Amino acid sequence: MLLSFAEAFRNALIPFILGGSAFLLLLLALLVGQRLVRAAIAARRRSLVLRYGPIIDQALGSESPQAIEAASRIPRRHRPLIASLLLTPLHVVRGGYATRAAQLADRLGLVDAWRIDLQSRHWWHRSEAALALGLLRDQASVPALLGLLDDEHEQVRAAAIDALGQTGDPSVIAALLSRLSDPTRHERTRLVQALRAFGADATAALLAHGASSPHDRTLVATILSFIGGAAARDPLLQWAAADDPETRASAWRALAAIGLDERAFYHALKGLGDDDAAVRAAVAAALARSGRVDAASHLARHLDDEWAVAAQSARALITLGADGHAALSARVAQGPGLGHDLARQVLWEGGHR
Amino acid sequence: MRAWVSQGLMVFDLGVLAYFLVINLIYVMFSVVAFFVLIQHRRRWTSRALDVVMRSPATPAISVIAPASNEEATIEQSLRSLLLLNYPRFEVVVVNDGSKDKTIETMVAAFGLMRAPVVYEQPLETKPVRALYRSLDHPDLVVIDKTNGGKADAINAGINAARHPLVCVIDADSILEPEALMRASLPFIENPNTLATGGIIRIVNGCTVEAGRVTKIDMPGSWLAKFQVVEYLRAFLSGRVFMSAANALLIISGAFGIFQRAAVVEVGGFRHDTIGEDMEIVARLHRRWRDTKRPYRVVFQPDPVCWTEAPESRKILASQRNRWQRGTCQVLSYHMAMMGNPKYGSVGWFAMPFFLIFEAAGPLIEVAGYVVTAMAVAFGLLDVVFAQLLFLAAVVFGAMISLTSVLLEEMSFRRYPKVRHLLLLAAIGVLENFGYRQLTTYWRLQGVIDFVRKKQGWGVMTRKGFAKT
Repeated sequence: MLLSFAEAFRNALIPFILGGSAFLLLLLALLVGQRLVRAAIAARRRSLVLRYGPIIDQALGSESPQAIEAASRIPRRHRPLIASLLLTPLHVVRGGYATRAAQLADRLGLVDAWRIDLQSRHWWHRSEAALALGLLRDQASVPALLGLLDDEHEQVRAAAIDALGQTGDPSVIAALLSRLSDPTRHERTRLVQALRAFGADATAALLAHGASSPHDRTLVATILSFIGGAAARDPLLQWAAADDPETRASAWRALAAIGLDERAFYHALKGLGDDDAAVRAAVAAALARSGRVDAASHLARHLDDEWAVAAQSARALITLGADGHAALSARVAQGPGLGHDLARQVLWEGGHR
Repeated sequence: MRAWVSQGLMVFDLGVLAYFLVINLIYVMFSVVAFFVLIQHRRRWTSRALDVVMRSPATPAISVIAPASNEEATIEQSLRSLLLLNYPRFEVVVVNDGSKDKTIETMVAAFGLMRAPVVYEQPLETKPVRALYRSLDHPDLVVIDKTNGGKADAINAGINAARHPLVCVIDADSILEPEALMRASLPFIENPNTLATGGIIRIVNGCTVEAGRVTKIDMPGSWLAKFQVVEYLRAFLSGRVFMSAANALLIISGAFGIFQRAAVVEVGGFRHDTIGEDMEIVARLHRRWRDTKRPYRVVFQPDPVCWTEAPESRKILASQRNRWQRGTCQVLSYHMAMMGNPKYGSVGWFAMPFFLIFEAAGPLIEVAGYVVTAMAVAFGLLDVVFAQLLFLAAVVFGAMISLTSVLLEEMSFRRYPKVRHLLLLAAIGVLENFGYRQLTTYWRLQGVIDFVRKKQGWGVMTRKGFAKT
């Protein structure tokens, strides 16, 4: 029986090897074939870029009717490629180039197509259209873009925020701020970028929003730490006295980024006595950035506070020159404890062993 | 006498043939199941579904634990990559396990670490913690400096310090992709009975790494590393996907796995006395939950990617394979009570016997097959052509399985961007049967022998650092 089994097995080996090899070749052909198709599509795109790139450059550079006519003769099926050729420079170039690009896009029917795409059932079409219209600063699309702030897809919402920021229309700031309450990290990044584009207009609107919506103050303060200027200092000082410790800490973090003036400095010294450790730590960090050597004696009292406060105070003292170093050395000399360890560490790191 | 010897050799050869057929058919089954599971997975976890997870207040916070031992070359880049992970709430706990190089100094300088008091409950027993550092610049970074106690001890120290309900254990020299935590945590959100999940490990050799991110994917320059790329694809995209579907997953790679902290604490943490601690903890979780008849899942997620450096020298690869083999044998011996025991479900009747026959005993059977076949040919008891055909059939089968894994990769994640990568992967699937496979079998056999001789230790493992890759 064993022999007959061995014989049958032997007889099956060659067909198996042949069949298996054929299957292997088929798998390989499948793998390579689909990649070749993708590569061919990419190569075709490159050749079209070489063909149409100069035509678009000429239409945008010369504004001659012939050049614009040549651009408008490009077949409709290649319009997506033309769109990317028009839009890519707009990420870095504005001014007259952007105006001419918008006019050409309108002439080629791209703007109308993108406005229609804002309602597309495919999220990626909605997202791309929003980004394109934002880059072209298309004011007529602002209402539709505002509608996309509540789109079901995160990418579309984020693209709408980007686009509204690009439009430069101050009337959209309020709508953007309404998104502050529940933004994802992804949206928040875009939101800060968009608000930054409005500069001082956004600071005022943010402060107004913070005044009317106390529950958003933490977030508003965080954004102000990125884009706020001197005008934000007084309202932030008011928030630094809010009941909610998280708001107080955020206000101090924003003030640290903006910088402390004389009044804010004395508020900060008072803030070192706050009941909440996170607030005291934020105040210590703000004092570190103030560079005021008269803060040293106040900070030195917090070297044995809770760890976050003590560590921020030690870090602040090492930046405050001779007075700060003297306060740290005095704490080292006092003997063991949290303050001793932290003071010794920052002195060591600062080369003052 | 000659007839007896001939009969004996034939019986043995048929046994080896049966082994060869069964293992390859099992791998075919793995690939077929993986095909359907991967398609389902891709359809299910769209970016919209991930968005919901990111926004949900119910998304559990994770403590990422990175044991580091003499990782001076890579620690800064690895940590920067960890701190940039895209996840709503997480902390990074680095455990410096008595490094003799400047691992701790590098971290102190790069992240502005400051000493903080050690004031947390320590349910797992570990070697003494010398100091705890926190960063003012990165509030979610904690560094524990402890005396050397091995990787398991370092992980346990990290679990003690972890504040969150899920702990993610990674190697400090690995690079997680930004969405890895989010994707790996999905099973815990989907089903609260999930005890552990693991992600796919990919080989970073040859890739470009910038600021703690893999920015360009390429194949390694070294042939040894190239062979490992295909090996990893095969192991993860078919083997682990199947085992996970059967709730029989026995290995969650030590380079990247997420566990319920409470579950790990309940079973006593990672074992110090084994070199296969990643497999052992999973086996122990299966065992405890089956013993206590509680519903649970251990899941492999195919898309959270962890990039790791593969050995490029024969000496280091030999040491790694020897260690893995000893680890497998150790874990099987610790949990022999589960072997074939229906009380332990798919783990008892499938995973444990599979690991015993094809992983632990595999090298013995393979080497015996080579030796006996060579002897039979030498003594004229076996037709040379038949032996050659057998070898060719093994090569074709092996190549089919490898190429199927490459196809699974291509239809699911398509990480390797160039056609030449695919051709190379396909060629490696064939070439690995001529030398590399025999070499790894030999190293694994040495691992079995060392296990029998009760040899301990991790052997050598040196890193180049990502800057050079």
